[in-house]
Amino acid sequence: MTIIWGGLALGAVYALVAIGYNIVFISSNTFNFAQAQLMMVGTFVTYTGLVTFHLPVFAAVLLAMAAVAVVASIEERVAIRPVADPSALLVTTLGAAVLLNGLSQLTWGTQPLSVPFFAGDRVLGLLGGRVYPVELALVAVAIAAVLIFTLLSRRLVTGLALLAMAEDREAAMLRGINVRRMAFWAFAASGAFAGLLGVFVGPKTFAVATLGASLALKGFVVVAIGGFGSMPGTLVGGLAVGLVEAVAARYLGSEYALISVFAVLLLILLVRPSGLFVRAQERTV
Amino acid sequence: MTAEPSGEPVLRVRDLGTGYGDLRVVWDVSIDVWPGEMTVLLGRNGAGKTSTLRAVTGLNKAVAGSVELAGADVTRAAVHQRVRGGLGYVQEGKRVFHKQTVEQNLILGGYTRGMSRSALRAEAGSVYEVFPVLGEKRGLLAGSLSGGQQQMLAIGQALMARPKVLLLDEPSGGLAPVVMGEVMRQVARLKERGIGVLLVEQALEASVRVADHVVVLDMGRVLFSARKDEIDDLSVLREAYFGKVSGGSSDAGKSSGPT
Repeated sequence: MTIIWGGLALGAVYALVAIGYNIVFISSNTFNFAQAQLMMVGTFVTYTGLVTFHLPVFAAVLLAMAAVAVVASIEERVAIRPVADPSALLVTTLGAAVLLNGLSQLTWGTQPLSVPFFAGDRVLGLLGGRVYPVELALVAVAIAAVLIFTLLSRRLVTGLALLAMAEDREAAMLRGINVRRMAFWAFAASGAFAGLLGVFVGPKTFAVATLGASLALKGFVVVAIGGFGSMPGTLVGGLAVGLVEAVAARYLGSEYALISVFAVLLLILLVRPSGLFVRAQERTV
Repeated sequence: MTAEPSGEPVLRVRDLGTGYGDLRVVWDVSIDVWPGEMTVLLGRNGAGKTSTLRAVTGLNKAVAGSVELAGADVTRAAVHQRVRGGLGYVQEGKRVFHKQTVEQNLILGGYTRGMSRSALRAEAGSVYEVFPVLGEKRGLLAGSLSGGQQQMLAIGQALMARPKVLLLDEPSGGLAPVVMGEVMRQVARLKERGIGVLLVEQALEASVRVADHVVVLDMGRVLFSARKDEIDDLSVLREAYFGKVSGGSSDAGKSSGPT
């Protein structure tokens, strides 16, 4: 059960990266390859707030949210908005990711930095397994995030507008939606969300400049499994990837962890090419 | 000679030119639409009708001329600003949001009104009165509706924004005759609400019957423009539409067009 808890917590981190991918994907049909790097910057800023400046948790979280929202906004203005060809966004957002990796190394160094968790690190016994408070918190945050985003997108007129933009940008403009402004704010919100997560993800993964690259890959796998644009898909996909990785590492050996994840991805894509939670649509030509 | 309607046109298009990249497809198009009246824009495939509408809404850039909406120059305004200013556009091809329900589509239609979701849901009742079938299917995904129902939803969505002028691009396109009749009947009734309508159609007889003003486009230019009550003989129009216009008829029509 300890392995299950560890896997679920890791899976929750992947799910949270994938939620960030989906916020941007839903609002602007863009895949932001730097989303995991935004989360990485969130862990660094949280570390700086908590350890360097000795700020209270609340203030450190606010600082991280504001800082990463600003970074995301700059990325939107520099790497997204000026790009006319959507396929070129793969290059520009990947470039932003590389830049953020480099800048983080320059600013915080290459050594992993330990981010303290506000609820302590005393091991708890739960359902026959051992689990850290941060691991429980990560699973709870991932579930809460999916529920909140699903509810907001269905209940708020703004949420409907975001979904409309994803489906037909031109028709959305004709409903009076300022699609450029909406896409910008969704990007900034995905940054604030990544900043908020620093206080949960940092204690589990450490703040380290290689975090972005490793999370980006797993986050992408989660979105591919769950389906692009599906919030419930991110949760199921994330937890599944985390569990497969943890169980494979325990019973097959750590060298099989990654290959097991990709084996599951291949199997799912063979059966459902659009992912578990997205229905494939016939293309009108 | 019949006088133009009193008051100002709600939409005044002057010498409009537009295209795609370097390719110019519309030249010097002038159209007026008055509140509570219908201007029908006729023309064969490729005449520039849809391109004209796209330039009026801002989806295509106007490279020449001007667009005035309720007295305000919107030639350089963004699409969403024109919509907020009272311009509605029902695109060709029943462009509704397939992955959202009928009710959600209508709520989105009222996006510019800044009302709460529940208030917009109540407001959708006025659309269900016009198109009762939409009320019956309010909880279904728009993608599951028939072509005619999707067209009704597209019009209903535009009505939710309370437009001052509504641009309709071939609302009867691809519909069965009986459904087409129903859609055209409802389109004609939009005038009773005081909405100015600019209707693009290929169905000449059916659209001219409900028109107050007729404009024929050919090769991206206005070939004929006249108030309907000035057209004594529909054959003149038919000739213009089918490209066999005689100089005299065309010029006579043009002289009474928008100035």
